[in-house]
Amino acid sequence: MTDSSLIEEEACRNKIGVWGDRSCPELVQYTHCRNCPVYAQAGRQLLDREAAPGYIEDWRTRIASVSPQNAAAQCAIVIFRVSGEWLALPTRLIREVVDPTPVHRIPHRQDQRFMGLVNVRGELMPCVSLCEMLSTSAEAEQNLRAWPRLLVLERDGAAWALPVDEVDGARRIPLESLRRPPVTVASGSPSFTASVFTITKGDVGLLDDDLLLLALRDVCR
Amino acid sequence: MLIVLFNIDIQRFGLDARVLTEILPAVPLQEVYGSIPGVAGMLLHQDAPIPVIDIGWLTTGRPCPPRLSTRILIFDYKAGPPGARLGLRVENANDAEEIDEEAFIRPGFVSPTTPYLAGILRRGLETIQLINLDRLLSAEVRACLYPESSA
Repeated sequence: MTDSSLIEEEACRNKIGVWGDRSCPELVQYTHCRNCPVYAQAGRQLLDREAAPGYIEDWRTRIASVSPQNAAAQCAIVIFRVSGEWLALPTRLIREVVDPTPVHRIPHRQDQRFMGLVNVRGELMPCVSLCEMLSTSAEAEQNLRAWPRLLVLERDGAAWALPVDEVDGARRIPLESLRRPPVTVASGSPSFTASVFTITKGDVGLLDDDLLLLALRDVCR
Repeated sequence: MLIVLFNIDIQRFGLDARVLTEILPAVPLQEVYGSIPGVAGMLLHQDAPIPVIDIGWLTTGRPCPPRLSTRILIFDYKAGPPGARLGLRVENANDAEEIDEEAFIRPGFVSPTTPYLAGILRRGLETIQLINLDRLLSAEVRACLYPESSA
């Protein structure tokens, strides 16, 4: 214990760095110790210690055990919510999830589904309303809090941004838990729901990625 | 290509990450008594045991120390029978870097004791030596670990 506190005291970041008197000449280049390779090196040194008791044993059982989830064939999906509906898309289609950015409307575009262009870190891409595409009711349910995000989809170099009300996260689900959608859902036009599965938050509709991309290309033509 | 970096003693080495399937902490292994030098034991993995080579022991005779940065890399072992996997216990596995394959120069010599050396990258005073996984194990060791391949 005294050993590590001594090292901490002697570390350059605490003497001449931003937590010290800021006299380090490297600060001109790096601005903050966080950006300095010496600081990164110090972080790596944390891994030179022995493992905490219990940690290795915990991993040993985790590696050795065959969980039913691991045994079955799985697919990786990202689950999100659009107004009151939980939906999912294959993870390979999703490039990133970002905070919402202002949508710039394009004049003389009457299509309700096409909302405009958004700027995602310097890249302009069309922003498409899933709500309109799937014709779900736009009024958000009162008891659901919204954590708005932009879902950035990418396929073959083309990217689209879809505003969603909440992203649950990426999950792996066993293929056998997928069910055929109810007939009433499937007959709705146009139907994007390929299959349905259940999580603790409710039923989730897994969207058909090929159909969705066709529609997206159609919207942005 | 993405290269996983680790140490053997004080030297920096790298392995192509494309055949890598998992990186695990260095958990205790099932010992195989009287086994070949370099073979640290069997890793009890979900569906099947995986033979694990201690690369420090194999090359320098000193096993990797028990640290957090000592890790087991699990590979699809192409030189073995179909579906074979190999674990490699390495020291200081704390980084992965995107490095151009062209940047590695040929070692310029072929030593009978280091046939696995595929290339060297110089970076200042430091070098990164690229390991060819297929040539890491001698034919005898391979025959012991994967008897079905030579049969």
